[in-house]
Amino acid sequence: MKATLLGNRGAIPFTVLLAASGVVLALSMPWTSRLSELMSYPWRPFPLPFFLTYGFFSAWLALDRGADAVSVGRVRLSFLWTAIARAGFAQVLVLPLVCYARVLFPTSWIPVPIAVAYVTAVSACLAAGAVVLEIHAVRRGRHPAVIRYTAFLALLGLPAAFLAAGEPFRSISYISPAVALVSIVADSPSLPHLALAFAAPVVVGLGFVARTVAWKRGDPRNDDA
Amino acid sequence: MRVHPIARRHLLLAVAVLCAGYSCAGAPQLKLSAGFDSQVVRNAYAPVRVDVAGLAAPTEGRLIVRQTQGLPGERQSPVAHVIASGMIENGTIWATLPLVEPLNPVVAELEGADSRILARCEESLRLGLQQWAFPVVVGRAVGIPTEAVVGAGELPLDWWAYDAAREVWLLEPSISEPALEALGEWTVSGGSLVLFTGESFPRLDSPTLRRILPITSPHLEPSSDGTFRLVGDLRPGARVTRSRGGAPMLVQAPLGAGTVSLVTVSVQDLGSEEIALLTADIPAVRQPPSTERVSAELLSSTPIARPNFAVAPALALVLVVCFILFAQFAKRGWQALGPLLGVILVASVLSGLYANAKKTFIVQYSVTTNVSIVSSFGINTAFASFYSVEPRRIAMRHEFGSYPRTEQFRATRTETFATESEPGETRFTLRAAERRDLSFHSRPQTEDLSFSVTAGEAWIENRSGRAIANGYVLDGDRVYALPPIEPGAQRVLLQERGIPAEARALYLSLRGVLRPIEEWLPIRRRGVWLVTYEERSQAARANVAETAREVFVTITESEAS
Repeated sequence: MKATLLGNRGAIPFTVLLAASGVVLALSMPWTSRLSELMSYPWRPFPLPFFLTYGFFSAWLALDRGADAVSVGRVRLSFLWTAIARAGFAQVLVLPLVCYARVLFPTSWIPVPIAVAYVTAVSACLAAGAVVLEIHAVRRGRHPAVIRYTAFLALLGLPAAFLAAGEPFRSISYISPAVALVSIVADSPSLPHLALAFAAPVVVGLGFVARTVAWKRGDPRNDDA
Repeated sequence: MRVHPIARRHLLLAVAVLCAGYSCAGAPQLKLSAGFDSQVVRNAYAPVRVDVAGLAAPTEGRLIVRQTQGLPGERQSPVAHVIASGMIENGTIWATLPLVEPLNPVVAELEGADSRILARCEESLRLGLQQWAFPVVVGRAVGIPTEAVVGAGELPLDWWAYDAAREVWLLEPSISEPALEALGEWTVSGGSLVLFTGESFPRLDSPTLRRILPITSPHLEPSSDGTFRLVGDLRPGARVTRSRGGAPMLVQAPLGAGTVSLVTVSVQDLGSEEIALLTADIPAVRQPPSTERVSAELLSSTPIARPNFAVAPALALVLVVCFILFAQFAKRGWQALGPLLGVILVASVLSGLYANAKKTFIVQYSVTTNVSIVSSFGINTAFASFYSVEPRRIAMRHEFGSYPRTEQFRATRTETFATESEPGETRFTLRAAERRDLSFHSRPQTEDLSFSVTAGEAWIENRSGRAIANGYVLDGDRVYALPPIEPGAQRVLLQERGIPAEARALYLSLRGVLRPIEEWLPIRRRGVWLVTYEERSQAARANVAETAREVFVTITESEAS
């Protein structure tokens, strides 16, 4: 079980995710107990740091544990399921903190499940992507970590550049997980924007699965048995 | 058929007149006037009159008075008051509005049901702007500096419309009962009313006037010079301030926080020198103490609903420890997963329940301090303070036609003071971490309490339908704390006892407003008074996380005093 859910030295990313999210959540609480103190030191519920921390470390964990799921020299579909299971396990672990983050939404709790669903979808996509990139890099003899994190930064940054553009190109920025998460938590994104945000990890994730399946079929030595 | 040229000319003229009449009827016109004799004071309430003419038929729409807060070159904000809505027809519409900046023009607009402007007029109040409160004379001019002369038909029916008046001289006897009632209420709120009587007293006399007069059993008596003067028995607290030929000429008595000055002769019987002497005897208006301090204090002391500090780090710590234990035992197989999932499930449910159970942060706070004074006449005055953590659109309900006035214009850092007032609701926007104060006045709709004192016993009738928890009777310097006043009539033995422990915190909070009101009325120097106070709080989390505290203070004069 340990090999499936955690992998080699796998406790560290999970512990970091829990600890970092917990610390940021604790720091997101106001210290004032009377309104006079709140007037002197204005504070407002600000859930964004918690969700950005939770999203960032979930993504890092998905990439790290996804790559760890791959055994060198082979292509198996089980690598994908292991990577996605680890990303999902991280989401289960952090669930109590997310439930508690409800206090940071005084008016509506709707953004909380949407944000969790989105982070889970992106984590699964990144976990699958880490598997594909790991197999690809090893085959080409390149450093897998560099390709993995460069691709991740590109996914975050390139669509975000469209924030500077006018509509309708501005909508492309919702492909960036950072832009989409900020919008879900801090704004009220429109339904098309929300659909675009969710479609991106689903489509890209399915693309990673298809690529893995294609590799597996193309090489008869690979056997899932 | 040939038409005679003269007949044709008449026919054309008639058609032209008809067309002109029709076009006039189809073009509604508005005329706006504000203040007393066009005199106004900045940010004080004033009577506003809008005359609607030229409407061919009653029209669905709204009549809006638009003002601009702030001078040109400064940050300006639109302030709109809807003074009538529904079917608008030709006639005069009155409202009592705060004039925020008389240096800017005031605009009246008749807006149709489709939001189209049907008629518009603009009025400059600049030339009538006074720096301080001024005397209002009803009837004819008497030569007091800065006097505003108005007719009896122009008197407003809201007592707070006299906000800019220093004193009101009533020379004209043909006063309607509602106008006299408003003057009585204004006097209770600290106003200074001067009544001229003499031979015109029978035209002035009414049941309402009898509650104002400083004398009882008033009747006219002929003087040696052929004129008539009003005589009667002095009420408790009344005194003769000036005499003429050995007979009282000026009788003054307190009424609530204000003063009634009765001139026993008519103004025609007085010379200019006597009027000048009278002017010196008339006290100026006594402004009611602001409840701002109490509202601000109650707002500041409002507790903030928030989770315990220790919960979030403790939750994270429990999860980390459980996960590390799980990682240690994971080598042995899947059995370790069950307890971990169990802990996560329990922690998720508990933290979710805890967060939902009144621990979400409150976004909007408000405190309203309502003070009602029930003497010969009743008045309500209220002060509301709002604070919001986030930018919010506030909709404040208030008495119909009692438009609130925004306070602390200079003290608040804000994006805008823009407000839209309907007769029963005022809307404005608070930016994040902004406090906004508003005051408004009204008259008590019903008298919930009757109170009299006889021989060490208080007879109290509570008609409010609910128990009043906190109250005390003030008789000079003696304070008698009361047990809860249940609905219905009851006799209470007056015993000197302390404020009950459960009411002490609120009582101490309210001392800041009760003391100045006791000084202002002044209830410790005359009469016996019942003071009740209570607080009602409510929190709403359906759409907006907000909490509202309302404090009610009612000061009732004993009927026997």
